[in-house]
Amino acid sequence: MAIFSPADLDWLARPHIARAWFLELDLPEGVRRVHNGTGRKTIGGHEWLGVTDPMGGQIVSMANVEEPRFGQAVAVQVTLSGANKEFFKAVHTNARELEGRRADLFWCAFDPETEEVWPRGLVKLFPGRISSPALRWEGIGIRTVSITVESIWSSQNYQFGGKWNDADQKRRYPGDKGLMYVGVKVHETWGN
Amino acid sequence: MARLLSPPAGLPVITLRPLSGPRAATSGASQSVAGFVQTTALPFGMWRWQISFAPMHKAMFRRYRGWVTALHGGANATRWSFFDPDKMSPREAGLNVSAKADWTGSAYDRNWSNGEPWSSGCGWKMSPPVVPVVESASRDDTTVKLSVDFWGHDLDVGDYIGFMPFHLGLYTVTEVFEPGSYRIWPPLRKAVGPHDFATLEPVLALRLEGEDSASADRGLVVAESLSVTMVEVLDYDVREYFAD
Repeated sequence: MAIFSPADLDWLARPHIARAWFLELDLPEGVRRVHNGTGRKTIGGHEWLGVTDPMGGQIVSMANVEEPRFGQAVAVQVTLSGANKEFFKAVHTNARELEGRRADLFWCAFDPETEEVWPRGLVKLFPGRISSPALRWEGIGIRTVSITVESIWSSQNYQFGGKWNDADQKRRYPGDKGLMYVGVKVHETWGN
Repeated sequence: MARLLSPPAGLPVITLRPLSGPRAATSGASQSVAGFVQTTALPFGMWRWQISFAPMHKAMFRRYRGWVTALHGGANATRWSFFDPDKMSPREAGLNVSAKADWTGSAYDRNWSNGEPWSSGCGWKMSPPVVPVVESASRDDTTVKLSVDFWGHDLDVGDYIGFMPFHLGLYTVTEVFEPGSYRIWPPLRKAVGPHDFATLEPVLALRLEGEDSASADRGLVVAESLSVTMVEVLDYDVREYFAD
């Protein structure tokens, strides 16, 4: 199923597109909804908080989002800069709780003049799970926290029916030793 | 703790310069093989102004540097009565006065009811009348409808308006659908309804955009080349963060 219908694509072929990303994070302390613009926006019945500061600097940056495809594990890197000591500590303490929680990435286009949501509304482009957060120190002043959001499809991105190796063969047929030496270098010494 | 400050009375503004706001973040363009360029930007815009002041000294400069210091690089916000030098004249705004009358002249000054002026010798000045809003509009709407009173049906593209009471925001008319019905930018920062009035003297909240975005250079004779760069603070953020 294509993510965008032909009608959507027509709309998106306009010369100017105003768009933003919306991230719904299911954090231990509750569901947080943020977007990468400024101000509070109510879309789809929820209020989303802008996390770009009004001067155009970005508190939160997001790496490229790739379409999940067969044969690759896609993930989105969300980086929060300017993390203070308390926040750093909190993330460190709660890291285990964060892992595996839901993080859905939505995308939405807007009318550039009136800021009205485009006909399609919020599009869930990237249903995912939070993997372990990464804390980074750089020099005396730069502290960032980055969270990798893994697509839920990446866990299904294994070969159909399993691989032709010993582990998968044992999973399929417990006790079967048939593939024990697949991929193993065997040195045979011929009698002398 | 964060406060909403009033700027010192009589600040001599000489330049108002609108700068690009947060829409510029993550804006860009991509070009197809055939040379078609598609531009992209963030949808949510805000006012960002660079305001320059005339040279000042003595008391005025003391008040100025006190105000700039108290803004603490963006920690406190300031309410800014947006002065539009190109505002419509009293006659255009629907007052029954001579076509030559302007807002600053004294020809139409009024004294107190006992005939006395203020201690400065001046009476009350004229100020633009306010116009009732006739149709409710919610936050983020971009269409407003005003009543036929005074200038309500005479706005045109480029007019700056605001709303009162208790509404922080500066809006510019970007399209006239029909007299009395206008498209505005930016979208409404707060809902308006029939109990609200539109005004030609908008007030918005601004804060410094960083530690080094205000200058207070004192020269040999006067303080000169003074300017501040400030960004809009949204009405609901003022109420949440700057109302202590």
